[in-house]
Amino acid sequence: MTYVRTVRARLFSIMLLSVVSSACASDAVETTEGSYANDVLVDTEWIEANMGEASVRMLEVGGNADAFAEGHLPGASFLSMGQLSNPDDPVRGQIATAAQVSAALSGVGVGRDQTVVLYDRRNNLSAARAYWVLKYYQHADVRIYNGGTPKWSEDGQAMSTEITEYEPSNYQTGAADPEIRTTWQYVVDHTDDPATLFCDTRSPDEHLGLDVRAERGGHIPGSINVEWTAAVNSNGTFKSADALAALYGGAGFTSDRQIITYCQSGVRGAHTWFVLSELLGYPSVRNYDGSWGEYGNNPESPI
Amino acid sequence: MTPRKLDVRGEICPYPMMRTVSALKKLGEDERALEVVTDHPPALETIPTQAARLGFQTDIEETGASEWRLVITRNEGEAEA
Repeated sequence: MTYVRTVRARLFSIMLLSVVSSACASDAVETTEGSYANDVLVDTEWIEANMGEASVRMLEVGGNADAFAEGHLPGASFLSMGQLSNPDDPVRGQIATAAQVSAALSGVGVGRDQTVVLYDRRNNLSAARAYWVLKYYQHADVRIYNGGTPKWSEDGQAMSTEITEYEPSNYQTGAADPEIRTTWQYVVDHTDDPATLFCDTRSPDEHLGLDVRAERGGHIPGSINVEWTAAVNSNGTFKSADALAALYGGAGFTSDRQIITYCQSGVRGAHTWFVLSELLGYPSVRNYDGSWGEYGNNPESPI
Repeated sequence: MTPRKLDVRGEICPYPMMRTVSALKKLGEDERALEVVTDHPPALETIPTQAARLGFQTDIEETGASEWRLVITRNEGEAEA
């Protein structure tokens, strides 16, 4: 609960800063002296200090079980991204149901009251998607180990091959949070809404319809294209708060608008959702889970 | 010739498609097919689409729970990708 209060307090201060900012110049989100809006990233020092704590669970997401077995952060468990998607949904790759997420987290023995630290092997992409899934089902305390296994190795830490067994739990998710995920109908209803901005996190070629990965190519009308990789340092960590604020503020994203992120299947969109909502503290950000895989295949979608 | 194999299990969008395209572009003149294994459902749409642009057709076989094998074969008469 302390963490929740901290996040809310920080979000409030960011919003207050935004209000001040809007009165002065623009509605771009500002961060306080280079800090992120929320304490959702942890570093190697934090991992070392909290490793083995009963209240903390580390989950490697993305990659595969073979790679995990060959080396992982000590004490971590493996969760595949397939366990966090719904195989029965007609739109491929959609978020898993509450029951499916409950089963996945029960299987690795996670409790609702634990701090879950997610990490992956490349650019925090899987970790950010998994973070979004857990927040959608309202797990209170979720963090990302910024940089994952490459950062762990870069900092001179040893990988473990020991598999730590955890007793299965009876995890039950919270209710789905409709404020952070959106649907085709909601998107279409807001394409002409001046209070809504769309962030296309795909490549410029996908955005322009030169690289077509559905029945039709192009983008949601009015979208601003900021490819998700623009938020990532060369070592896979997130860029600084100041750099991110400049990137998205400079692209035209303002705190007085609702922002909808999207990509091809809601993964890259979740990464940018994490950046905008959690790192920069934009107050209203939704990830369009169906993304272009759904939108571009629907003949009724305005393009 | 046995098709070259590419295992992208555990990789999520956009990497399965990107790695597949890279592998297709590296196929030798005497190689006509690539076999890809994935567990990421969106890749079942993006990989065939991109492969088609490079002159390949894709056959998809479900090999297990949420796991698929994609056999990507160069169209007859197509030049090297």
